[in-house]
Amino acid sequence: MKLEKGRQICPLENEGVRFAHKQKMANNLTKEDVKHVAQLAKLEFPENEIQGFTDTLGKIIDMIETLNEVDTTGVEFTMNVADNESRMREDVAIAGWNRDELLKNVPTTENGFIQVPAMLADGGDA
Amino acid sequence: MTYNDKTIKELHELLVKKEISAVELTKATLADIDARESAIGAFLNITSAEALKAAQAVDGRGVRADVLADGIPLAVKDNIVTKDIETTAASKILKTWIPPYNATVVEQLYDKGMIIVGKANMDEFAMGGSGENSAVKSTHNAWDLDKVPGGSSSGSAASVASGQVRLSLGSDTGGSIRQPAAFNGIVGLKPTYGRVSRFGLIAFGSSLDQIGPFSQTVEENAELLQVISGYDAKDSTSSDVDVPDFTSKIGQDIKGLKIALPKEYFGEGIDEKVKAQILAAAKHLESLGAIVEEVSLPHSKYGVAVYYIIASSEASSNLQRFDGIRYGYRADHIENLEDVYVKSRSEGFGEEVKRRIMLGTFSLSAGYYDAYFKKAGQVRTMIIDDFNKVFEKYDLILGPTAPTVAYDLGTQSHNPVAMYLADLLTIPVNLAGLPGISIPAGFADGLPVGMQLIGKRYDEATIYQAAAAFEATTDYHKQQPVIFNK
Repeated sequence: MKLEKGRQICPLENEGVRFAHKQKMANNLTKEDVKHVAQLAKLEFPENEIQGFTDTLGKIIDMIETLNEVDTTGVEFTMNVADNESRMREDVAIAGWNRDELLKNVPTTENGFIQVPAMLADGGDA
Repeated sequence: MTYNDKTIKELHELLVKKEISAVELTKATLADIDARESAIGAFLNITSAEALKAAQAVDGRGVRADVLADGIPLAVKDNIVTKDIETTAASKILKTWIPPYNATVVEQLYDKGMIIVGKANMDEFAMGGSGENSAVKSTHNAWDLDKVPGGSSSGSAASVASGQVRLSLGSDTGGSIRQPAAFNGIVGLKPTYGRVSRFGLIAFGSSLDQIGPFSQTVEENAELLQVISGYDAKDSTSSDVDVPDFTSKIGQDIKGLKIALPKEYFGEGIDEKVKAQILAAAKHLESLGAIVEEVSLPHSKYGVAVYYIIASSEASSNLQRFDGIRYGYRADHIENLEDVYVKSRSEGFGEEVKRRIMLGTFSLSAGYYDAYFKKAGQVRTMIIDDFNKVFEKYDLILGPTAPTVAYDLGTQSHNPVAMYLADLLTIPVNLAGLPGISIPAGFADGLPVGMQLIGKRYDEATIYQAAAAFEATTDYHKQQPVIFNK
């Protein structure tokens, strides 16, 4: 993969092949884009709400695209504003959580395990 | 019998002298809450049984004369985790969640003998600026019940302003303490990032969130901040900078204090009457001896865009944990594992939450990461540099907290962009991790106007010094809404 000068490769780059032609922030956000993002976010929207949602999201993106005006050449990225020192502790095991306490909020459990439906409707694996 | 007009110091004296008991004070507070709750709607959960039990324990061992906060009641925003007491972040997805642990700040409150009387209403997952995004109900402004209380700490602010409780804790990611403090005419502070532990604060924007105090007066605010501050090993972003006595400069004059007025905070988009009140407040501070000068924070106008990308991106990651598996809402009609995630989340989250998750996921996704998330992080650096330059010469920055006073319920909630732009004055403070307060600074059209003072990192004491000087020489904080004296 060719590295463009000054641009870091995002680890998820390979995944977004269909977006490769949309490097510029064009705001022709489509319903398909919204459906793709929804899939990534593990959300679903009723078909009759998708257009409205696309429009609202589009308006928000219009607003945030004002950042295009700012020349950020050579400016460092701020990840957070904490004091940012790693604090170490002794490598000694300390008591953890009580498993039964933690399981109290789980909807369905079995023998200390969290019970969930099978991956596929027929009970099979992917 | 109500004690809602008594300060912490006055209540402490009554308790120590045994003129009232902790149980009597808690009962009086619960009665104050009850008398106003149908009008205000500040609480999701009023924890009478737990509160009385705690008060009995305080009376049993005796109020400690050297612990100012011992036996004092307060409300806590419902995104702060309380062991064995339902905590929901005002979301359907956490309805009936009974936490198995306490937030660190809650442990600190209990350690000082403070009595939690209820969990306060809020915008769902702290996403909102009006209180209208709660999945349960909208809280009402104490000064005008048809108006919004502001958000996201809507209940925390309205409960103090209305006289239900003397103190409360809220949280602030883009203004969620300061703005409702302004709309309700009370004192609200967002501490320096890292000053107060975030362990047990349900995460929204992890590089922005802070828990902070609401109160009627500046001194009480500092006293509550004292209880909740300090290094916490369970929060890797917690700071081990010394915790000073935050009240130490209260009462000192402000002669020679250098206060900056950024011209960008008085531009278009700020209501003229709000501007006039704040400029008058600045003049007043000058009359007390402060040196007030105009400065520029040139990248201010990009704050909202930067914030909405960063906060939404962080939120989209933080809210991935709500998946119907280990806790919270699990949808009914599920056929497979994917359904558990997708249906539980889609049914459990409200509109605004889903909007922000989508915006954040989009900003972080392949092909857009550089243009949005990375760009926002770079402009954030520039906003921080603007502040650093000003703080080389000045002690504090002053401006209005919000561009308007409180508006009618139901009028803005359909317009997300307008709602977002209303945060433009508070957001940059979170981006830079600086401390900021809102204090009552007048009225416009009969509704409170808040003044924001921003300080250097870890310099809450100077903020309190200036705020207290203003308070001591004005009457705004003494004015109460009709419902206060009900």
